[in-house]
Amino acid sequence: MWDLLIVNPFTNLLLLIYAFVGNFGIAIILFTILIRLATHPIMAQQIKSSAAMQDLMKSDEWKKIQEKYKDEREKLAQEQMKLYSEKGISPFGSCLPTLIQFPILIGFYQSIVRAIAATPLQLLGLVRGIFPGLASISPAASLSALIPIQSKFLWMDLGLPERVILPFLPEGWGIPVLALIVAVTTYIQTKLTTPPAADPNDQSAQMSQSMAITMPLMLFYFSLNFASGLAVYFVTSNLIGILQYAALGKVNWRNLFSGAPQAETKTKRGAKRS
Amino acid sequence: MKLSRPLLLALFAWLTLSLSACGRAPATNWPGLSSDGSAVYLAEGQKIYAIDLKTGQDVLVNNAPLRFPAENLNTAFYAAPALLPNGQMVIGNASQSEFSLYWLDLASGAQTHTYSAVKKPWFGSALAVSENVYAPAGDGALYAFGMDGTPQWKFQASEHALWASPSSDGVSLYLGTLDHQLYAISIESGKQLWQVELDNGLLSAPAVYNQTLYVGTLSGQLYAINAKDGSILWQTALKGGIWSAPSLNDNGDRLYVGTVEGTGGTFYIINPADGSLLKTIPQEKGSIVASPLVLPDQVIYVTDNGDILWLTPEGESLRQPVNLQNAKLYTQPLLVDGHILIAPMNYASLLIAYDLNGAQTWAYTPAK
Repeated sequence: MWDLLIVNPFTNLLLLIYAFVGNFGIAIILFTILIRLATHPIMAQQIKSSAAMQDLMKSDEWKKIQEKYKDEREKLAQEQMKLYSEKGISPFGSCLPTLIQFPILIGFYQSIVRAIAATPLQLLGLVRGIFPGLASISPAASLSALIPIQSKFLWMDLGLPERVILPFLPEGWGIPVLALIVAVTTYIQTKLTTPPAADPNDQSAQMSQSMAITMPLMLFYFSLNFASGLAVYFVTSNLIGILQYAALGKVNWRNLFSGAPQAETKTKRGAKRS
Repeated sequence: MKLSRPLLLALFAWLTLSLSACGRAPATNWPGLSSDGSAVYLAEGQKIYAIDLKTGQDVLVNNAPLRFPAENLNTAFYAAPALLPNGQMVIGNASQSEFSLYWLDLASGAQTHTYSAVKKPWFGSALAVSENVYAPAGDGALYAFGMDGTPQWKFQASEHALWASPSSDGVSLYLGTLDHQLYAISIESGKQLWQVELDNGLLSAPAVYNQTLYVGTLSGQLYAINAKDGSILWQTALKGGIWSAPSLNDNGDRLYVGTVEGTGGTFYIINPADGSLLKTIPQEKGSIVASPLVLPDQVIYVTDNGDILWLTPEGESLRQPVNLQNAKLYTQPLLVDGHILIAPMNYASLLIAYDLNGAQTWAYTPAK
């Protein structure tokens, strides 16, 4: 069911783009842009809801009920819900869009892995998933024209983990340039797009801080060990993500070089809004 | 906050769909089988197992199961080990980070030689011919080595990885590539003798019989090609793609080949003289990825739906098919010393032996 509804259509779309541009690296980049643009309204909604929630949590009313009902958890929850209702904020407003976006991104990721078809078993999965009508759109999208996929892009083989081999390095060693770019762009994106927290010491702010470290490390590890086509997707996705946030005016440039989110700025901003 | 019923239903359906994405970890490689007559060598996942043919148990060395390589290396095997007359096997590593062709000692499992100059995975099985070995590599070249691993020549066939093994008539090597080319190469010098472009990618070794090559492509075209000059003798369109080498019977009057079409396929018996179809057996469930095993009195083929099917040479059902539940069969059955060996994937046993009457004689599960 998952393959039928998500992975196969995505894979075919990716192959169709590849058939037109003739370069799998560029196809991945264009496909990433397309998917990010398609999910942009959902993401914009999420950012908006998240910002409204942040503002509410910084408001005096919120702080007042926190203080007043600090020993009555049930009553506190009731008052919080009342406040959400009064302000017209949905407490699920920021997580619901994520919930919708997440499977799309997983399916997208799987379709890239499938289309790269770096092993015979993966090629079997790819061949089975190609829509019979694809060739009627363009002869370049026929099976005989698509296989083998031209997996060379810049200095990389998109089906293999990327390394730059330099003559002075010992045998079997290489510099994982793309994995490093993935780590750096992920770090920058996480820092730039993390919304300001009311209190830098609270749990969510600390979680954001640890995410800013663990995410780049995790994606660095993936890029180091998996096909470099995925790393191309990670880099493109990070850069487009930053652009999307910038277009919505939600990029926090100050966060980039500070360890913790700028509490003062946010308080000022929060005060202005209230 | 109240969510409307349709929204809740839609959310539930979306979550169900999302969770179905997490249900399985797909395998990336399939088993390869070889035998020297007393033991069978099963390349599966990260290791090669040595199994005693009589007992179906691990071959023991100093009371420990024999494993290849003996050392812990980052390995993934896709191919059948090539067995050399000097008591060694040659197999390439198809892992995505460690790219070596290994020479392993059959008695101890120890590495005796490694060739690491190619920085790409090795998927195809190497071919041993007399005292040399020919290995298709991930960099698109075919490499020739002496038994001890001394490089002899290199033939650059493609800019894409070579997944098909070569075949040989003892004088020439025949090699198919993913980018639609079929080559004949001098076994002595490694020089190209001829080249022919076919309609689609070739994933298997051509079958060689009486100066004729039989080879199928991903789009289901089966070709008979003159081994001397590469001229096409006939061409037949089959339903589905051809993933494995066709097999001929001893008389050379029947050619057997299976296809992959979606999640099904078709098994064909073809007249090798002119490519006409003698028998067509559709397989609604289960594709035929592996070559069939052709014996004088029976033909055995397997599907990736876990089915093992026995036919008469004419294509009639010989006995009730066996289904290995949830198993995937991607490896050609092997006949050794009266045992028909089947190597399933996703199954409790890694290797199952049947006698010539189709009765199971043993099943192998590796010792912990």
